[in-house]
Amino acid sequence: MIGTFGQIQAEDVGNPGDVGNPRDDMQYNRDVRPILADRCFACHGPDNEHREAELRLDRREDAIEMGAIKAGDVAGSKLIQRIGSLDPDVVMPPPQSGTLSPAEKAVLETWIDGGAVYQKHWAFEPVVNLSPPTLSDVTWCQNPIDHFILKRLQDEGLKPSEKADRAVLIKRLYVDLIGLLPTTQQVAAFLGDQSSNAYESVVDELLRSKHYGERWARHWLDQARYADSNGYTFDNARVMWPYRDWVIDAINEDMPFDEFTIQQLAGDLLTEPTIEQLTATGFHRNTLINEEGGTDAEQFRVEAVIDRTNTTGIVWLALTVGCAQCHNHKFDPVSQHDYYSLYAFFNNTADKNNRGPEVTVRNPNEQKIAELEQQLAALRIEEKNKSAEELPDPEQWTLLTPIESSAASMASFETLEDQSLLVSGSNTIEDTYDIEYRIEQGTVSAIQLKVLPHKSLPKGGPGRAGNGNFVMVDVQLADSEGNEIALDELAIADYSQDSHDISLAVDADPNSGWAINTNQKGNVAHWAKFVLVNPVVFNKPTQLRLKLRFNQGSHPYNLGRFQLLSSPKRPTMADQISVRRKALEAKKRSFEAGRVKSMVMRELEKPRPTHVLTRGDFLRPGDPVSAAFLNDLHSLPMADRPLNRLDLARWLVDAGNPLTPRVVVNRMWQKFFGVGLVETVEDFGTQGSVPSHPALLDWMATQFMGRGWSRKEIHRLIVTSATYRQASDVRQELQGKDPLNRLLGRQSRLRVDAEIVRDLALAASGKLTPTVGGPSVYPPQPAGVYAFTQKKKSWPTSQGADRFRRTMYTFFYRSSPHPMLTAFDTPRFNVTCTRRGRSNTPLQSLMVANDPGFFELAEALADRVLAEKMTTEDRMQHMFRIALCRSPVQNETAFLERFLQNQKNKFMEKEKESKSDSLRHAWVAVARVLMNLDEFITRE
Amino acid sequence: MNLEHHFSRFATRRQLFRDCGIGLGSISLTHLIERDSCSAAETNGAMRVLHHPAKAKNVIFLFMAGGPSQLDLFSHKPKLSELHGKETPKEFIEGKRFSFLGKDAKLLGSSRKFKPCGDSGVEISELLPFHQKIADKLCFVHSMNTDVFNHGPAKIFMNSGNPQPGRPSMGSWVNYGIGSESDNLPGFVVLQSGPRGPRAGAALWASGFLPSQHQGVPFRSTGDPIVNLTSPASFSGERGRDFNDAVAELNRQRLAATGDSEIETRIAAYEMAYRMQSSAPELMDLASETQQTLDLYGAKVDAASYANNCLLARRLVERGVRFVQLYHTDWDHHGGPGQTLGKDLEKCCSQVDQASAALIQDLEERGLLDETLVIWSGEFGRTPMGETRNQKIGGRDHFIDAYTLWMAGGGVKPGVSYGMTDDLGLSVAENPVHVRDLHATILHSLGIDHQKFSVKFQGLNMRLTGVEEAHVIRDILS
Repeated sequence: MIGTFGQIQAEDVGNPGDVGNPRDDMQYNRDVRPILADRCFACHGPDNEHREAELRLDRREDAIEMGAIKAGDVAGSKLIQRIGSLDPDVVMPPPQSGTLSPAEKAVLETWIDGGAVYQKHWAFEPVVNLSPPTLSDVTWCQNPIDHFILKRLQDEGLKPSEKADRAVLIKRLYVDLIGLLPTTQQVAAFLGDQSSNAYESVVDELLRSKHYGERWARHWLDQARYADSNGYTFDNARVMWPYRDWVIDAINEDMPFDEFTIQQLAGDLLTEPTIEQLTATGFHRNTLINEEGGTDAEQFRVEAVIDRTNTTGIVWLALTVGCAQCHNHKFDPVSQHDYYSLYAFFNNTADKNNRGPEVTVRNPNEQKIAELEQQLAALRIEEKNKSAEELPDPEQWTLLTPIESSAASMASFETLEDQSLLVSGSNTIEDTYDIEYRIEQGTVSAIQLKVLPHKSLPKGGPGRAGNGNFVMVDVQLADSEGNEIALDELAIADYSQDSHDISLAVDADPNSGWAINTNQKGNVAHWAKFVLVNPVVFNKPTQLRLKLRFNQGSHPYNLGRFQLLSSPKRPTMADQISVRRKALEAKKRSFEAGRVKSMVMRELEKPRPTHVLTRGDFLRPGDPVSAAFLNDLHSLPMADRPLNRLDLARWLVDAGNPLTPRVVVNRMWQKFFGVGLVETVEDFGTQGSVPSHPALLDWMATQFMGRGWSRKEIHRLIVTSATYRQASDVRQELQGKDPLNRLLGRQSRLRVDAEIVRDLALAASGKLTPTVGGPSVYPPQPAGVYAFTQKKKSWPTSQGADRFRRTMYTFFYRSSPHPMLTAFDTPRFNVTCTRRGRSNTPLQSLMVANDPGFFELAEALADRVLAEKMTTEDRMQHMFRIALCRSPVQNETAFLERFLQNQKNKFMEKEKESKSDSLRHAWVAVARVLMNLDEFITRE
Repeated sequence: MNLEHHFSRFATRRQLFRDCGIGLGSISLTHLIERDSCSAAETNGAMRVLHHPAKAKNVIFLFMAGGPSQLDLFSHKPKLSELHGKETPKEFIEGKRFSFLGKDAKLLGSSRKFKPCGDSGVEISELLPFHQKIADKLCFVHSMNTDVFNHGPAKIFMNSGNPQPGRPSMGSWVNYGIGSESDNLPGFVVLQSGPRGPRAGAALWASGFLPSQHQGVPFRSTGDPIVNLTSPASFSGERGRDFNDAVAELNRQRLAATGDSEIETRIAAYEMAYRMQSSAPELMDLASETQQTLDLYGAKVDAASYANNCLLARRLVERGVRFVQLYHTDWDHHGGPGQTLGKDLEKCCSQVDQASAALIQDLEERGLLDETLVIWSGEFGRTPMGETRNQKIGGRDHFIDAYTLWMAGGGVKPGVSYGMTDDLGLSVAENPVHVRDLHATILHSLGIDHQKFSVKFQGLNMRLTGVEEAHVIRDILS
């Protein structure tokens, strides 16, 4: 796969910023290009539209032809003459842009004197298979990575750090690989494991953990700008979690990265794609949708295609192709024409702003739907054969008088003159009304519920929801003894809201029910009729009990005013079969609503023409273009047909592509060390930073391809290196020479990502629900989050297990993300993100200290240790180990024990709490302190 | 300027000072950090030194979300009334895009009475009687224009210079560049009034690729102003102090063991959070204002309103907060139910008129107006043509080619009208001002040269004003 590159002895001579002395061997990429790119290329570079005096300095032949450079002849080179001129009309760069420093001039002179040798930009040169540098003493090294790192440190006269404490190491591995804390048992087992491969065993175990896929999926999802809502104005919810789960699964299976790429960019173009392969193409359906009224769908389709183009450029190539959207790239070899040739690959899909193809990922009710379809088919035949023989009796409805009424919520009932009940008072999200009616001697075959408006109800009712609606999920009837009187699944109403058919009130599902869409139909009376399975005959006046249940899920949707009537005859349903059929159809629709569909890509059969868009404006199409690779970068034999996304995907992960493998391993490196070998992980172009260890980067890229694009293999390689295992403590001699730690003479302390901040607290609390995948969840969030959004979002706070799911499953509204996430630098996923910020702010402090969601975890940690039979000293040790994965030192123990005692006394004396309450509160105080330590949210 | 150092360690004391969220003023860890004394041109932000002397220190942006009708408030067009109900000249409609308007839309004259106000004689509509009284303190720009005509993208554009979300908002830019002078409050605060939040939500005050401590912090008008400001029950008061001391003590022990200066920042952040727990409620408590001041604004203690927010805005800049943004929603008067140019526009006006004017007066009386730039604007204006909804012409569509905003204070000439539109208000006739020019002008008044103020991100030198031309509107600056 990696071809037949010669083995070249490597020596890393990259420039990690401030480190090292100036070198006398002038190199174009390292020394000269940064000056030219910064000071000259804007007017004398690749952009022909803004080129001045026809001169370009980025290509040797052009610079020489124009006389700007005479190789070997400093004085004869016009470039040197112009930069040294004292005449403001002659000097370059023009005075208002600032002149070159003497040092910069000296670099250019030395370079021209040495023959003005150009180099291709390093990242566009092919990946070279380098063998690690030879070292005289390799005892520190664990694998070839360390050879590269150590060589460079030695060149700078530096030594690597000691290996980190084992307790630090195991937390580091857990946090980096799976994003959770090791348990006290796991730490103890590792500390006690004297075998030589103890560390490697933990690594292997973690790489096999299902949580590994979650942690590394999250990094990828940042790049995929995955979120659960549409963005922009209304920001309604969308279903994209099947795509998220696909990523988790693919990473857990260690799907080779080339395959991973192809499925996401072009899974739909594979032969007979599977549901999974289609789901994978959700990658580029994560673009925004504007649902605002009066939008031009084409405008937002174009924006999505632009975003797909730019995202692809950054994620795979680390090229800021987006610069060429409006004009030729000023620094990198991407013309505007190239840009729209790349754009053309994505301009051919069926989605258009808020409309687009989906794939049905799963349907839990497939069986039931099939059964219903059978019944429906039978009914249709029956309906066809049926003549109008059954002329029913006229209806005879008798109004019933309520005797006693109660509600689970303690709502109050008032009987009005027309025997209707008017509800007031308590109005809860779920409620059940229990009404006893007087019933005279005789037969009951059916009942009728009339729902009625009233001026005291919101918007006039009949319901008590803000708009006067209600959702009645269940109707039950019983005799005076409480024996249930079964109702037929057949019910009829004069009107049912979409997806809220009356039949849903008499089915077995307690979450579906009847509603009447007052927004459309107004706040008017409606009726529903229910048929008894077997008519009941009452020999004397007695009571009939009616139970009505209401539940809309997130808001109170209870009924406000109603009457009950009974009939001795089955009601007039002139066409019973059609009623029955409608009921079945409604039920089928509700089952079908349980289908999970995920947004996917689909290629249009008839290609959509692509044009250069003048200044990026979709209303100003220019020259037509067709899909083409960035051939200056890397070319592939052209197929004898128009290129499509599948070709593009294959081009991106072709072994000859100089960027993709470097870009991907560099991002892995960033996650393990805090900074990439190339710091600008999103920009490998000429404006990006240069690699600190270029030979190591190429060696890693070669290994990545050579090991079948396996991410797990590269992760294993990195975490088993001695470089990774170093202590992160700051060393004075390193601070002086390498304050930013680019030479990696130590590990770095890194504050963990937002999701992991909470995941660690979940792990320490013992509350974590380890379930992988599924619909996004709604952990508690502080009140008032939606005070600033255009539409209030539904946030049905999860109870039970879902409350404690890993934070990557928290529902993400782009316009109003969970405040905990944004406080800790989670991007908003409007555009791709390859590198998160790592801020340190008072709002973060308030979040961890006071957020009810965090506080309940501190309480859980306290309760967890209090449940153990232990001495106070042991308990303190235990809690500390759970939270920080190490044993406390003497000072820490002493301080915490004093703190515990002090808090306990204060709760007793100042808050007048009982002994046991104050003890618990004191332990909660300790747990809260531990969870708020810098160390708790830091990978050391 | 480069972001790279933000993603790594604090290299210097000054950087630490600058980077910890809220401008570390008087933090208690005096043995670690002393407050730097800044000369006039020095800043707490990434710019270190201002590009030129500043006219304003703070900005209050009164954002009228939805797009107020300039033709019914500030832009008096007798000719439009004359041609009321007539077809719009064809040449105008062609090539223009509207969100809802058809090509056959008829011109709609304003039913509002205008009167010349103050010495300048600027015409202001009867809907804004309090504005009429302070006309001489305001500077009107009648020739505003923008690029996008849907609410979400247009609001994002007004805030960040780009119609798609993802770029830093101007408040973030300003705080990043020159920091804040508040020790106890965030440097960029957002307040909200009206029936709902602004469209596009948090994207409007996001920090984009700038460090997230520069994002706007929404303050709610009632309850806890900042999310999670209150300690859990029975952990407040003295135990709040105990908690902070304990966290600090253990953090200091870890700092000694690891030598990581990030822990110092963490300790300082906790200390500031602790102080915010008292400074933020103190800020929100309007009971300390005189009845006279409350009456000036029409504010009420413990209520939530635009008036209260205006008063809070003054209290915020008084406390050194750099950038305050108020959103007042529901100016989207298309003509449907709740969106008419009749009572619905009247309602919006009555909600903001008195308090907006009071803010200017109050700032002036306290000597704060000179150093505070106040801007009153929507994300766009509204069309001279009427929009038909429910068979009635009761409103106007979004309009991006010409609309009006006003500014006051901080180096802006008072009593001035700048820019003109044609007799129908269809196009700018003189001195067009694009949103980018507004951005350039805001930055300029703060001592920032918009062309020099850039951050390298994804290969580009990113600026608030982007890559297109932008000009400081020098004619309106004193």
